[in-house]
Amino acid sequence: MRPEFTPRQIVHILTPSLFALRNRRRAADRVDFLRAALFGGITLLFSLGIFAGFYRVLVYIGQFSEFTAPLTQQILATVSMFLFTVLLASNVVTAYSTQYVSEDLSLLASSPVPLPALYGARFTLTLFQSSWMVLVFSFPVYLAFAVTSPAPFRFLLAVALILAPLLIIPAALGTMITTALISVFSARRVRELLMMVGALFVVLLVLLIRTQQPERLLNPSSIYDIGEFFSAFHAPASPLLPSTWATDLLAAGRQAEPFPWFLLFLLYSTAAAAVVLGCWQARALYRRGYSRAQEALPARFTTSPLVDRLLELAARPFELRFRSLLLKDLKSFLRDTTQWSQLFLLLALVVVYLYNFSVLPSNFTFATFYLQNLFSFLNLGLAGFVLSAVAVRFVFTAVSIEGRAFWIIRSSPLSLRDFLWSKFWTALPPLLILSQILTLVSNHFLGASRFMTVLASVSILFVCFGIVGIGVGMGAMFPRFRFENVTQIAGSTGGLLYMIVTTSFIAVVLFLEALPVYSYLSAQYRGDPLDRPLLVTSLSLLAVAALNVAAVILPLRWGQRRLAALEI
Amino acid sequence: MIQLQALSKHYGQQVAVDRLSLDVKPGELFGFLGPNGAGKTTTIKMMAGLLRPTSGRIVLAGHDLEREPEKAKAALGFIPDRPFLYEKLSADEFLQFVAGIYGMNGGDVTRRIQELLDLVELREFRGNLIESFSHGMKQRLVMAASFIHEPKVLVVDEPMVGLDPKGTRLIKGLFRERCRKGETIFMSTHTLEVAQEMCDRIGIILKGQLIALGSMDELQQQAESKIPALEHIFLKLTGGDGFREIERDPV
Repeated sequence: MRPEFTPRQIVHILTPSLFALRNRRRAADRVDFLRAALFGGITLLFSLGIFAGFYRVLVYIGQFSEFTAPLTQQILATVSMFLFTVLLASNVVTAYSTQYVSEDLSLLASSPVPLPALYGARFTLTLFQSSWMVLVFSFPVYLAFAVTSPAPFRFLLAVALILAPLLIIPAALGTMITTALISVFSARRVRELLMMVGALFVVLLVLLIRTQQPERLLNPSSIYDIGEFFSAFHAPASPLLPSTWATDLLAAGRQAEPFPWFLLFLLYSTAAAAVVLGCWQARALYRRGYSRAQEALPARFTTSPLVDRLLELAARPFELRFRSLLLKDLKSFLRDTTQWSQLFLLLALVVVYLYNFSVLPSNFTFATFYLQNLFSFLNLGLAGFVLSAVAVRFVFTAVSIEGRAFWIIRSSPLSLRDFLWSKFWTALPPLLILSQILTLVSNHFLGASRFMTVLASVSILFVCFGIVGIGVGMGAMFPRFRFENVTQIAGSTGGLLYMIVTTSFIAVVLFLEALPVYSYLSAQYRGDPLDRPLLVTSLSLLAVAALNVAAVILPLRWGQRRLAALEI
Repeated sequence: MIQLQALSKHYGQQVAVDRLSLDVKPGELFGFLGPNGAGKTTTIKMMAGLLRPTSGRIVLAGHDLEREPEKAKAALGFIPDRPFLYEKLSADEFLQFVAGIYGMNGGDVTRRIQELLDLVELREFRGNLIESFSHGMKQRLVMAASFIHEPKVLVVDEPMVGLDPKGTRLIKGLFRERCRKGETIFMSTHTLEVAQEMCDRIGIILKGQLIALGSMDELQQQAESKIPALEHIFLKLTGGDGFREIERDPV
């Protein structure tokens, strides 16, 4: 009997993706190489950090022989469960795109390609797209386990053995979840759902990790802290979970014990069964799901007449053109789940930031006058950096967010100058409010002097203008009107450059203020007259204000020129 | 009303539009034809302010687009070939937004929006988000948006693409009506029957240069064609395999 499809067909369907990859490498220019080097460098640094953290903890645990094995196993279980969960979530999101909304699918779905071949090819694509990053960042973790293990090569062998099924199982499950969701809801609803749940998942994870104070692991005062930390993420060690089988195999490899081959068999057979089940499910539901994915139903979670009315009332006092742009931007933002769900992340960032100050050692408020003020001053830089991180997502993207509808602005009588200033004034107030919350609350926790609190508040106010000006200006210099997701704009080369520029800008502000503030505080500490230091501090603040005026006007002007020269 | 003076556009070594000069009178419906890659969309994008000419001048309703861009654009309505819009706005809100950036406000605008939505037969969808619209509905919405400020000049790129016969008829009627009111329409199209039926004058562009200009009769003379059909004239003037085919088999 002739088989329904052959592996060759799967490879053939994958060739456009492979060719695209090859062609992109061939067409890469210097900027692309620079970008790859930059991202590569950041990844390497991050990996080294992960390795160092785990290595330190594992070496420390190794000193307590009676606790070593159970604690290591607990950490391994947590890591395996974490990877499995992240992979599952990542596969659900990726499968949505690769299996249902990719533009090339219309060609494939209308061709006589057998469904199992199509499923196989798109499944492979999903597997690679969703797993490579997890794989890259899990490598330093497993390496740390290996080098601290009595049998490093055996442990690495265990890792090699479990890797394939540990990646395939969540990929197959994720694909099945997406197919089930799309066969019930429309693609747009599923997208909204995934964005909301995804953002909430990340927020909860970040908050959970932060509130467990992982810094305890880097400076362990007690072995029980480590146990307590990992038990907070206590992985449900059900014997039915593939992550538990993987953990047991890894633990056996690390302790140079005989491999539980049955668990390995379970992992591989489950992986194979999951792929076959996924294929059966695709046979039953894929065509219907793909058809539903084409339906353009209106968004459900994103429109509210009350919110619209409130926005219109709030915008009423503004000048007509500014009001029109403001309302358009706000409504588009609040109705796009991919955008407003990012507010959860912003909230998590602020909570974690302020939490960091709230958990300072209880004796910190009794620290020296010098130390308190030094921390308060450095906090200015930190708050500036947090604002930049927020701005790269919400301000730098302000021009690109016009997307392919930018022709409407360009062909209208609205000047680019007015357009950019409108973006500037729209982005400034929320960032100003955020900056004041960050500095005032953190200075309260730090117990900073009134002088430092006022100085930090005024300085960050100025810095906000600069961050927003540079954001809108650089966003116009490096626009990206074609994107699938807003996060792509923030993660572009322009976004990275923006972060570098704003970090340097904040460093210059700190540099300008450092010496005058030091002289003022020294004079205050010694009881010397304050007139002269106060004058110097005021002058430095004036210099900071001037710098910020330049940081607003120049980038906006350059951005305007770049947009005017841009051919769309 | 529309003056293109020695307009050129170069992309590196490639010349997309080569010293193009045209004068379109008030109330005229001007058809701009040419094969793929001839320079039609480049010309239209320059007229809409989306591309900057390498050299030459564009004057719309008496305003130089380079020197007085805001005034020139205030007189212009532009309908692109692909209607990319703000997907998260409703049709009503989109028209409000466009009216706003053209500096229009108040009760008159609300009334005008209702009229335009009626005109393009989108009234019952006015509260729906644009993301749920079909291509043809989006195209009709863009048309409504381009009419909102009563432009003196309307520049249209491929207006019939993606429209059903009812939509096509609607657009034809709208364009005729606007020309009667004195509006000037500059329209690029591949639909030669539409151009023949509607346009007062037609310009044919090939490799960036204007190779023929005039009414149907004038074009027929220029092409030395015995058949008064624009398709025949067009293919004869632009040459290539298409013309050789119809020469062999005129039916």
